[in-house]
Amino acid sequence: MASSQSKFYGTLAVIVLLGIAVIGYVVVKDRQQTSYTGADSFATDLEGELVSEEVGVFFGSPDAPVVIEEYADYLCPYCGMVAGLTVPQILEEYVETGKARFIFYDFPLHPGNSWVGAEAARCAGDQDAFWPMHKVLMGRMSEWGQKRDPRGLFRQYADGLGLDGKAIVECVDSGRHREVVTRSQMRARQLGLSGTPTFIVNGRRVGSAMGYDQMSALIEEELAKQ
Amino acid sequence: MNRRRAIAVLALLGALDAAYLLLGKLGVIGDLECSISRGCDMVNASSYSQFLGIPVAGIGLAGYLAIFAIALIGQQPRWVGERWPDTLLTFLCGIAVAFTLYLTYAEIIILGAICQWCVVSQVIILAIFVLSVLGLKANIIRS
Repeated sequence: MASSQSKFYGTLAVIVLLGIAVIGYVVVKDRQQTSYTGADSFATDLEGELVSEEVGVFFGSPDAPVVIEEYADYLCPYCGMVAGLTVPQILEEYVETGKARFIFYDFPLHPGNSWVGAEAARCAGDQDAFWPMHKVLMGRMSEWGQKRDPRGLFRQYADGLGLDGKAIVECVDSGRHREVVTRSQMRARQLGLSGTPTFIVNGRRVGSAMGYDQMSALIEEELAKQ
Repeated sequence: MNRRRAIAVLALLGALDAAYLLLGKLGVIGDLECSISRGCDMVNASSYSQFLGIPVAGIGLAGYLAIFAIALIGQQPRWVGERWPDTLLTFLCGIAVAFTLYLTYAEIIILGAICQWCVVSQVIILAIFVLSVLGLKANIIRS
């Protein structure tokens, strides 16, 4: 009986040790692996004509006197900050009132999830929901950014926004917007940009994460020139 | 190996499986290994992966540990002839199986994705439930 009990506890101990070893191995292996690289090609040809502004995502009237361009990476924390604080206020105060036009350009700085996130936002744009998805992706980058395959989370976010999450995952998989993201990144590099977020207000480049007051002052300055 | 010991072994395997799913859900490990079914993260990131704000994998882990503890206590010489461990195990596993059926429905019908680690858990809990019912039945016949 005692021997049988010992064997039983021995079996349990072996299972626990094996389980911990396997899970530990998976954790270590996962940390060594790179991110999901659905789109990891970097445009290198910087010569030639500047990539058209058509590759950006527009918001506001085409006749607005001030044009604000933002170049951002979905995995850049400062981009997340401005997407949650500065940009919505700018859109409300200046873009929706017809004083300014806002153009968002993807500027993925790293291979992997920076690209996939950009594509997911563009895919949401196919369902007329670029901005809501953009805001969610920017706000939750710490959650999906570390995933080797973030598509499950994209689907969850999209479903939460009332979109067709399955279609967004299929769209990302198809690489439908990869070219436009690549061209957008190329435009940023042609302009000599190196960091994100970078704003360009009527041709004046302003780097780093700007607060609403700074950005507003700059826009007012441009408006006064008109 | 008697039934309660088999249940303890299965519960331990189920606990390890649930722990892995929980680590994936909490983001401690990046992505779940999903070479067979390819739907693990889809399921583990869905709204069905939480119940009343608690990760389902966490509930599963707690459940398996409870089953493990009851089975372990129930196979001790002083309690081996008692009926209460089988009754308790059948009751707990009955709830777990009902919950599992709901999650399986959500997984296959609503999400259209299959998570292989969830399937492992479904098989384990079903096996534990069958063993518990058989144990309870044998206990009733004996008495």
